Amino acid sequence: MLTISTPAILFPATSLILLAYTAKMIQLANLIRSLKKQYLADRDKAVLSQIVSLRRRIYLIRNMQACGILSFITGGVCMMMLFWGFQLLAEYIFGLSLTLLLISLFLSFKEIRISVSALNIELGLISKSRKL
Amino acid sequence: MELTLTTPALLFPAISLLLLAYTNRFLALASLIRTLKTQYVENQSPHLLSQIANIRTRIIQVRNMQTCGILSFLLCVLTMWLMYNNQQMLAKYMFGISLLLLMISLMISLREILISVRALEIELEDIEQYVRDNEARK
Repeated sequence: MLTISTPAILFPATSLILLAYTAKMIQLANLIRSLKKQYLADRDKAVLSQIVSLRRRIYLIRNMQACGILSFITGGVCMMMLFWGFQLLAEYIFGLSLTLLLISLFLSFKEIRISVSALNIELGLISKSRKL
Repeated sequence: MELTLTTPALLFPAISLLLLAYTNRFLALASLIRTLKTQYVENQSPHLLSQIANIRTRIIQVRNMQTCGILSFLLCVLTMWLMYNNQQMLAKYMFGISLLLLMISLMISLREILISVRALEIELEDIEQYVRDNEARK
């Protein structure tokens, strides 16, 4: 049985996760900007492939954020439906909200999996220069 | 559905965290727009100008998101106050408006997120040009 407080339980979690996504996004955007400057200065292929990897992650984070926000919105809509007494509709919308949150988290999982690759490229550079 | 004194309070942590996220965005965008402006004064690149335009729209959107969020918070507290004074009917309406404002705030946020990658795309445009030129030379 869905009560008016059930979707609201997800709200703090969703907004915290959105906060984490935002922090990630801001950092990656700054990093891309500084890497771009570095690339223009010394035309290094490795920097370019780092930028490509970071760019993919930025798109992933954008989608994570979009799904998170949509989950939040559907949660709110679900609350309103409960408020007006549309019990069945509210249950479907809550399911949708949960699904969107799951999609967002899955994208986050993917993003984390590729998050080390830019660093690997950066460090690959060091190990190469050591061998030389 | 029965409204209790604690129902609006459920929204408090969510709204305040959301406002924290908005503030972070706002600060990052404001400092970015300042650095882009100094860069633009130095080299007058049209790329920078279109980035600045994008960030400016987003700053205004973030301001509106914050306004709606704060108003939603305010109405939540007002709802609690009304219930404390046994104005059940009025409290219900207030809570409804509060939720609606939160939804509006989130929708603006969604729009902001969807255009957020645009500035970076513009930033990377010239790099893509270089890469294509390099490949053409080979």
